[in-house]
Amino acid sequence: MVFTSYQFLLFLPVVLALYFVIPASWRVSWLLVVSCLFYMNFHPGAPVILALVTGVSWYAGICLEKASVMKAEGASGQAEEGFGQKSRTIWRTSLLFILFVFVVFKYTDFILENINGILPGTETVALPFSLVAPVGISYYTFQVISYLADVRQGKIQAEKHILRYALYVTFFPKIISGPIERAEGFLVQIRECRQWNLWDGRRVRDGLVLMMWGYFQKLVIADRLAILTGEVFGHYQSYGSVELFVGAAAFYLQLYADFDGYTNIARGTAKIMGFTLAENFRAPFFARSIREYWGRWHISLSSWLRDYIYIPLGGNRKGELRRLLNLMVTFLVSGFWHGAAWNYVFWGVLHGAYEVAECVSKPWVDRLNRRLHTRTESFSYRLFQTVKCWLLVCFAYIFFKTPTALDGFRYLKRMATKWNPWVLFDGSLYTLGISQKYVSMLFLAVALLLLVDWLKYKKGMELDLWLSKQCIWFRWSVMLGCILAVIILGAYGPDYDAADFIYFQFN
Amino acid sequence: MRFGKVWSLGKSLGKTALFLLLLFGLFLKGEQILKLDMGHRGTDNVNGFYAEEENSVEVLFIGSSTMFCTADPLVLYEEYGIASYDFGSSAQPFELSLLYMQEALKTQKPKVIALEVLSIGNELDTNKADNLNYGLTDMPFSKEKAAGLYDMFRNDKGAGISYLIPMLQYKDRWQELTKEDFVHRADGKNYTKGAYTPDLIAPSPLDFSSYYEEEPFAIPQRNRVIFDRMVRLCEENDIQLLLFKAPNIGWKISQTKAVAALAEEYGLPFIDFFSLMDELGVDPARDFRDNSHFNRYGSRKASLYLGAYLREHYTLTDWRATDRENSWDLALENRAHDRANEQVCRAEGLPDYMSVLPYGGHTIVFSVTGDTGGMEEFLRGLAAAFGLDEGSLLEGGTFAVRDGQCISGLIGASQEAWYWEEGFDTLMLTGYSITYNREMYQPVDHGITILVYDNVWQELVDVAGFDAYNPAYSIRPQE
Repeated sequence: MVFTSYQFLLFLPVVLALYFVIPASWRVSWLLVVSCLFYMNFHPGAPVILALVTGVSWYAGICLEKASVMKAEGASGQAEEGFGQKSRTIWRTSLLFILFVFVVFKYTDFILENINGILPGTETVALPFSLVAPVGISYYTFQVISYLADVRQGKIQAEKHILRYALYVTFFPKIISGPIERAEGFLVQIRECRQWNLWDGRRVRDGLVLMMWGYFQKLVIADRLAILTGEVFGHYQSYGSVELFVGAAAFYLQLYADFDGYTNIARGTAKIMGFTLAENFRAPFFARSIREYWGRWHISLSSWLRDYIYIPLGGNRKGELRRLLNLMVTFLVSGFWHGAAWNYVFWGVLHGAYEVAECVSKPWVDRLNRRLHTRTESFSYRLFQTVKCWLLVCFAYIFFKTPTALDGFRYLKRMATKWNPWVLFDGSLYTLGISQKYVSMLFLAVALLLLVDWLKYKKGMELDLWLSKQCIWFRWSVMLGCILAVIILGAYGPDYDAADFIYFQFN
Repeated sequence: MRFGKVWSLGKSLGKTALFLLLLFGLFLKGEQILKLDMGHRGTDNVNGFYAEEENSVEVLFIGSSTMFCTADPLVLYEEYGIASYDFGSSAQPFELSLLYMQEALKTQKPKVIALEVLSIGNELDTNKADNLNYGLTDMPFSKEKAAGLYDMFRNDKGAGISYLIPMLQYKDRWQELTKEDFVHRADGKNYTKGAYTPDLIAPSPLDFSSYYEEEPFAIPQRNRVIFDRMVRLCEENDIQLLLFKAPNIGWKISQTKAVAALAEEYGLPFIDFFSLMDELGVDPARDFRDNSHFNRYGSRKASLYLGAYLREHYTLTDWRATDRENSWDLALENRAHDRANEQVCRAEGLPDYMSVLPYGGHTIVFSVTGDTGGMEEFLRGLAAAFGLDEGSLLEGGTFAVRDGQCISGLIGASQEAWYWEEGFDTLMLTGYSITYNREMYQPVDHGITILVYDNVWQELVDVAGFDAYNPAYSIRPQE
């Protein structure tokens, strides 16, 4: 039951209607029930793994806290050492178990594939059964790891109430593709939700605006671009530089509109119910460096990697060389997290290399700028930086879309060698699966997307907040126009193959 | 405090309701514009049916195009006084025929329903979107429609919903919208009463020999169930059900026998036009427009038979004999109007053309250009007929006539342009040209050009030019 399905459009009003009228003390239970139903809709067996991970992490959290408290209260000496040892054992055991489940379901095929590649002749290793990774496993695995790490470090209290904790893990708007919520932000909301007054028209309206914008991004922009990128990446051997560049740029736009669209629908849905989900994107197209880009793109993941991989590895506290190595390791993990395939790994390594190159070259670039008296705060220089960052990220995403890393290299090679600028003028670009009128429409829609991002970048204001400050006629016109645009211009219905959200594949 | 909260909640709910109302209104308007106008394939028949006065139809014809190309309600009315309507759509699946019956009974209480059985042998193919769209696009949302679609699309509910809400089928048409999508949909009335009987003849005579090839055939079980529901629906509403089969290439005698057996099983009458072809004098060379459909001449023969049969076997009112004004009289007038337009479009040669020009309800523009020596006498007569100086047209010029009266005066080459508009259509005349909707017509250099515009349908009927020295042939811009 993806957010763009008819089932979800029927499911959500029923969930909300009951959520608003049931007694406050039932809210957590109700949301847990509907979250499980929502999740079961993807695969009836998937909740077994989810329940296992949830149960183990919940119990481990309580034990970890108990051991930490004992350690703190246990005077000194041997007792303290004993509780410290116990805490470490619980942490390691639970972490190993959670990672084991994660690796088994997500990477077994990848590992076997590579072993078979190494084995000589026709000898192959295979499982007697097939393993299907449960939907959302990457997201909820990282979420429970962060919970346990925070409990262990005493940042948060362990949740004793199993239903509340289960809802923290399974909350249906975010279970499939995040945001990866931290317990300190989200679990607190679950604890407090029974005290909320839900009848706040403005909050509901703002939530609906976010959802509407999310649907616009997904159905009008991302799924329309998906037709073009499907065509270009699917037959890249028959296209020249310009089409391949257009395809790569379109894929970057598609990925953003798709994932930010999903996030906005999730955040809007949660907001209607009174919950605030973490921001996942903050105008990434306006980033001027790769480092800034990762502060704006998939923030819940990049901040997780920073807090639970990069910093524990030593961060920047152990010298420059170690810092660069830590960066590379962090991006390697990011690559593996995104998918069990070498093209994702290469993508991660490439981003690591970008950031390392940025760090290493920074003093040289600064010195050069000083020598040349470059006005680094001028619009033109900032634009240059933005475009440079945009292109680097765009090229890296080629490896995201191609089925293998080798295909990614071939794509890049063709893009660099098959120069065909005339297709910009002879109408060839309108034969990539999208009609001329839809191309014009897409330009307008992307311009709108950039405008909304610019609001966020320049004024730190999200669309729902900005719109709530406008007069009612303007607000209604925008909302009505946006809803009708989704209905009329959206790439859905009988003439289209239903496109899943791209980040579902990184489950 | 409590009142304040209630007031605030009420205000929020009121605003929400108003917003939803606006959204719904815009959605409906958008859907109306985007929906494809499929003319006689569905739109005209369906919208026309809903525009009929309630309980005015006594005989309802249901089925596919073979139905509405066979039974002509205007022939039935003109010859027998029967008030009937062809409520069908092209390539109509049998499931839709049942839905059409259910839908029809909401506004009409027919005494007889005549079902054309072409689709009784076919299983539903939900992949044939066109066939479903013909029948479903203009059918309004109702619980019967929803239930019917649910039944048809049990395994693909998403597709079912897209037929329930036509916007989902037609949203991509925003790229191809034209003026016609925004106008010309005023009353939705269908003046042919659903029939489609063009004056076209199939390029070669139809060969029905394959009809007699025996092929094993059984009515699909699902269609038998649907048929049973149709019979029960008619019984519950005290309606006589009549089955008939119009001739078409592809239908086999084994199918006729299966339908005849089914009719016998239920005690229903069945008219088999295959077996009546000789009796009715149906000419395979002249009475069909293609392999599946009667043309105007074949349809008339079949309709005369149907009318006589209905008059003989059922107690039906002769609406011609009543004083009450009815829409079939108006439809006959409109048919005469259409036939007049047809004659204009077909006329060759100036004398013929002038003899069929329909002045009533039309605007006609005459534009004389170049050397007109060869038609001097004609031009003198034409000028005199419309109150212009007899010799004035010999110098060239343009004038417009509406309902037989000159409305523009003669516009000479040196005079300013004359403008006229009807609805969204515009006409600009100068002494040497006719410009209709910004498109200039001037098919002859030396002679007369005539433009005929239909004021009732608000559409261009024909533009023809006649050379001054060879007026026996018309020159039409599109030819």
